[in-house]
Amino acid sequence: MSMLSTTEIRVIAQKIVNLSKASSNIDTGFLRRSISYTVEQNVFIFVEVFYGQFGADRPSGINSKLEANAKRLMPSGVKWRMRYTDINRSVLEEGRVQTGRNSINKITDIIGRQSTTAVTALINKIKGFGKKKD
Amino acid sequence: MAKRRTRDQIDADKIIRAQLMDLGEKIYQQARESSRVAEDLYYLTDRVEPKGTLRKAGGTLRDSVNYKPLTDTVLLVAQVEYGKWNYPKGDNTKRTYSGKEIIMTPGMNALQQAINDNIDETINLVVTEIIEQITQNYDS
Repeated sequence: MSMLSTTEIRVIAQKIVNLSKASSNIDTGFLRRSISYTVEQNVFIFVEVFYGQFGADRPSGINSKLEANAKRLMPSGVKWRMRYTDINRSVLEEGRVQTGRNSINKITDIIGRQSTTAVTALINKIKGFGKKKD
Repeated sequence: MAKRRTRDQIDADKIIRAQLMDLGEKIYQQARESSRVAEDLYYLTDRVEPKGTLRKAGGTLRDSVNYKPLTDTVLLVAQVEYGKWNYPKGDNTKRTYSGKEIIMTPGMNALQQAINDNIDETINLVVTEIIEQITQNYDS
């Protein structure tokens, strides 16, 4: 463990999240909204949607610099890892082993998809709007 | 292969998409404010976990609320799965959101409640704007 207290590390983690939110690529804002961090059993977990890690070969650059910022700013000795989420009921979790090698740990169901009758009614109403009436 | 849309349909879909994004932002803000946030648990003794251990940082549910347009007419709203069983914070029948009191529907989680509170306004706006666009070229 590092010499810093948990409160101090959480300030750093929040700074990483804020930096990454400010610099991420924006189309609909889904990626920017998904960037956050959480603490589970003294392990800091940075959460973002899975496509934040892609886009290195594009002119706009990598979609989100969350992992790079975490590598740069997290103090040594603090355990942390990335969690890449998706809306199709799947979560990829990538861990870092002691030697520095990355490993994908598990796939679990965390994010669910649900719709309400109100949403369905809205969609049906809008779908029917442009149709010709015989 | 999908059927090609007419120019009028494309214009109407643009209106719907813009309104759905506004709806998503409203739902996002309200659900973030009204969903439950767990308090961090610090262990003060060595009985269960080593002294000073932080068990759970709150805010996972709050941070997971998100929205995304799937097509021009479909908005997907998402949160972590356990949010299904987490009701809005506050009293069982009433709660306060941005200064005004809203009566809670029993059995609805914070996200569903946020959708319910905002969806009627959006439907009206969409219908009004599309009718305006269709009738703007004609004299009444």
